[in-house]
Amino acid sequence: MRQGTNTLRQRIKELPRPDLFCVGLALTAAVLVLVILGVIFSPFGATTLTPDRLQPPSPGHLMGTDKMGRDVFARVTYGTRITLLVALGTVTIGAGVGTLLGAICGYFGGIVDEIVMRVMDALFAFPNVLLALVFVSLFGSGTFKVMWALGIAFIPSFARVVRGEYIRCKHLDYVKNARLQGVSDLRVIFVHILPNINGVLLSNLLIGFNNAVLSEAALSYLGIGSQPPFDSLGQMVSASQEVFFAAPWTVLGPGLVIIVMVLGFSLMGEGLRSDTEGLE
Amino acid sequence: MSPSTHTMPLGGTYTYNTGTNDSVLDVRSLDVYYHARSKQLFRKAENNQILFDVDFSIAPGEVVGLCGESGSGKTTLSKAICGIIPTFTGSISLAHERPLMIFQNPYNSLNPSKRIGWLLEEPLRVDPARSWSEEERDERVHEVIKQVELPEKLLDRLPKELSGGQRQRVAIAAALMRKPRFIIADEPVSALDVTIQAQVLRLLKSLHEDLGLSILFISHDLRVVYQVCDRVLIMQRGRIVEQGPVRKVYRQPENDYTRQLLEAAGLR
Repeated sequence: MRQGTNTLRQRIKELPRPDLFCVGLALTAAVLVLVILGVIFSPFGATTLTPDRLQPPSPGHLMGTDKMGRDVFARVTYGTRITLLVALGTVTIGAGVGTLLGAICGYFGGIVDEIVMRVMDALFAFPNVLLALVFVSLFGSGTFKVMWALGIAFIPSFARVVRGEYIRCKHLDYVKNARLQGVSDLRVIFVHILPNINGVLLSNLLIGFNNAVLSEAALSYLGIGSQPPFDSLGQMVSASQEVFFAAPWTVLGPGLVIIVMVLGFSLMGEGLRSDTEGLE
Repeated sequence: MSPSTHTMPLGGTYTYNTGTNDSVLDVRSLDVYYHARSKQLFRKAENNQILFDVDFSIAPGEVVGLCGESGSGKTTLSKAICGIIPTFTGSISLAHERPLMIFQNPYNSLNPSKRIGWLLEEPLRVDPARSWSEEERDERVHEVIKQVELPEKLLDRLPKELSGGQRQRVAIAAALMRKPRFIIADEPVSALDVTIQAQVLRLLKSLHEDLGLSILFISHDLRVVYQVCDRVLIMQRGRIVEQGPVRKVYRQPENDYTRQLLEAAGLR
């Protein structure tokens, strides 16, 4: 028996490991293709009402219809677009500002670093969604406001990672050499060091993208974010939960897309991270 | 260019572009301190003195060895000469521009994400003395890559695609880009294989002869110093304990510490 499990284990070990990045890329590409196909080929709009309410999936309605008779597939493709847009905006704001702050704090250090990083720690102490809720309650709801709220909530995680990388890099000989040559501080930060932390930054970007998709779904589920009838995926799940037992496809459709999207991005991020770590 | 003098916080003066022909580097009664950060709250930080009354100069076209065990202050002295340690008293004056350094480990001193051509052009892009047009930069890169005996096809490569010896040649080339008359080499061959060491040393020697380059050659290896240097400074605990022409110091050392170093290197 023992012998058998051992050889089985060995066999599993010897199987070619799939490249995580490629699998992730494939999943993400699948979601994107779904969106494009939906936009081009679906005969229904996201808000087109039909008399067929709560129909199960059929060739006519690939993912069935919801309680108002709208085609779930068409709504999912539209919702995916909103979710992707919000996630992209969130990561752009979070990574952009976070990288800038982290780079400056890490490279220069000193009192500015202390102040900025303590503020970041304070922000970091709250969960992203909670923090976003605070911003939304201050500035109001809506797709773009949620994007900003989540973006600000995402700044500290990027700032921390980037700061750590700059602290590591600034003592390396190539940086000292550049400074001896008379390269200005800003040029050292952005031209000399930044390309060397690309790998770390990119894997964090993808993981951040993931968290953004999930946070947006969570916020939408709470009823904050994009406004009906143009729902994001999270909002569709939220709106359909009362008919979950009668028509599970209304929840499973958008839910599945969220899962595949998040899985795709995490695998890509994980693959990149193991690649860059393997290099060092 | 007109001389520029900087007076440092502790009263030391750092001057470059003096234009004098007597020496490329003149260090007079140099004391260097490191500002130790106070570990205890409410306790004033103290200055740790690293170098004591260092006094020497380097003539044009001279290769000077700087020897001593680790912790004797060799690297601190080289940093002070580059002008990156402001906490000193005494004076440092350079006939020309601030010197560039060749570091010990070429695996760390070249930016891993940049191509060799880019790395060589960078000192010209940020040259404080003049601006270089793109054609001038390109021309100079090709000129220098020949001087360090590297094939031009390496210009498109990344540092990780080069061997250790090639990388150190690139580092030397980068230091030569602005046509300096004085450079500092901080243990330039210590991280290399013995055969590669000989090649790089030969290159430094020929550059010194062809270009009339002055070099401050820092090394803990007295054998290497004997091969390339005209004159040698022996440092111990922050002081220069002996200096003189290499042959004289190696044959008739006057200082006990020098004798110890020579014995440890098997040269006596």
